[in-house]
Amino acid sequence: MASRAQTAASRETEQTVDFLTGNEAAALAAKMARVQVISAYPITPQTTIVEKLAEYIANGDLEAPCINVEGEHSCMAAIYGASLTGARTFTASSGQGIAYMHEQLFTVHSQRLPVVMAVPNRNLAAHILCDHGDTMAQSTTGWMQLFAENQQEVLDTILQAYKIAEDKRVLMPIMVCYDGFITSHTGATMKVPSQEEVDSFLPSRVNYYDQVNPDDPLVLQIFRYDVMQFEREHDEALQAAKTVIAEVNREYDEIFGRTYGDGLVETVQCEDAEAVILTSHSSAGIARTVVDELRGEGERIGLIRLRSFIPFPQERMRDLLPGFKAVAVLERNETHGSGCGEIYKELRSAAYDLDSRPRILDFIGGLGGADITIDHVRSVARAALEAAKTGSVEKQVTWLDKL
Amino acid sequence: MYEYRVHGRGGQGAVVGCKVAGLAASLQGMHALSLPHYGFERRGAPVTVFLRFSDSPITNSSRVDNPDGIVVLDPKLLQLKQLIVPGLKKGGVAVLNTRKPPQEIDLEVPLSRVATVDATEIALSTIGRPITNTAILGAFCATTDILKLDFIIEAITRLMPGANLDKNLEAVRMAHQNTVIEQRE
Repeated sequence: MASRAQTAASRETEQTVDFLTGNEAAALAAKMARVQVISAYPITPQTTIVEKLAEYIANGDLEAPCINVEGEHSCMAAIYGASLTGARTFTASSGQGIAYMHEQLFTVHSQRLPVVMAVPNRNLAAHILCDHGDTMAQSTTGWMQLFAENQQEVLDTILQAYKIAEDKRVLMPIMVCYDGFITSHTGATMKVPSQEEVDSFLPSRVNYYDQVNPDDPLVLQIFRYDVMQFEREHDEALQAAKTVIAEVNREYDEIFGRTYGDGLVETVQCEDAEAVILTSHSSAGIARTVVDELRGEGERIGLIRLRSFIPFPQERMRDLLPGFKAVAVLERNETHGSGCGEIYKELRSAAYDLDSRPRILDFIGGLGGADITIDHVRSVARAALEAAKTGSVEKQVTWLDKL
Repeated sequence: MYEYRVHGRGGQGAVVGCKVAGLAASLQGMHALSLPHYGFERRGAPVTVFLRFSDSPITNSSRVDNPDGIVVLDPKLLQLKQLIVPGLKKGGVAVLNTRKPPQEIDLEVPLSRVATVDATEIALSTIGRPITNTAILGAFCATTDILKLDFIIEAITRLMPGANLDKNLEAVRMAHQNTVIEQRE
């Protein structure tokens, strides 16, 4: 243990301190991953990622074609073609852009292409600001979804995403999601690894199947009779991805000295907790502050940060949940008609077969860029503690308006 | 933890100025967060950026409701007290771009320190345009103990390496020397 800590500490000195926005961190990660083909169509709050990549290319810092397209549907088609040739590809989009890609997202998954897409999340209904409705709406497309809490994790997770997606056991596309504006346009102090370190962590993409070749044409994506079989295999690959996400998280820690829980889920002060907040993205940062505060007052509260939404870590949740009396989910999305959010549904589904399960409450906040304040998170924590004490829940789903 | 709220107008470089402040703090070993409050910005419209500085990592990315101080890049915004004053802590700090001496400033909140500088005049005489972000950084540095001038200069050199670099550095130094600070109760 000591030697690993020592290695991590000495590694850290090879990293330089910088102050980057989430989008700058995403562009830098793509450059350091030595991406070979880029395509994207501008949409706020994604645009500054591709602007930065265009600047890298113009300055000679990155050698990759950046394919200009007339919209996101074509963008994903271009990425699909490029990835079929064996190239490491990068794209980024948000909100309506992802909605417009929808059909092509299935196509990329059906060919098991390890495409990485950065997504600063954006509301779809009526605003340019953040909520997670855009990627929640793509949860059945067969793309993995990892949630980054802050700017440092955006950089780290994009580097990890290539390693996860390109692993032979996985070979599936992946979105790295983070809060639009709150993370994408906010500058933060962070550490940037050296190119040598990144190269040692992330070698070139290995192609396990024949690449497309103009001299030997073939037809893809015509009607297939084995859809049942390949969809089942794809689901197995996504289940296997849980192991790979955890492995990659450990390996990243060994090289760069940074770790995010077990890769799927991060627990904070959960050991003796009676009540926990379960949240994702930047809200987890606020929840850390609130948990510290309430621990100071003697409350037995903890935080579970969900990092991998797809694949959803059911097994890990089943291990964790019996230890608590109440879990309050805080999420930035809502499924109309269900009256609750998507994370709440997944969590309750995972908990159903447990003999002993906690009360599970849902809090919906921050839609369309509404601020999730520290007071909101305090109220979520108080509700969880109350449910843990009384064993009953008055209100299953709460909408967080301005306090 | 120090929390500041920065008010400017679209085109005055509030967002870039706060990025410089964040990088300067990072280079001198602190942690910083610069959080622009986005709506539908356009040139001339009021712009707000929140800044946090701390010796330990910053996890709170929500807006700053009760700043320890405000920084105002545009003299006309001083008339919009309903915009710049709400939530400002008693005993806080104000760093203002105005020709007025600090003794003439009344923000209707008891403050510990009020600093004024004619950042517009300094920007015009150095850069040739009323872009006041670098000048106000000089004033911020002179007024608070958070950022050191050397690191602000290094951060500007890294983030604004164009033809105007020397002029921007001159603006920072001029403002740093010419800021008038009034200590209050």
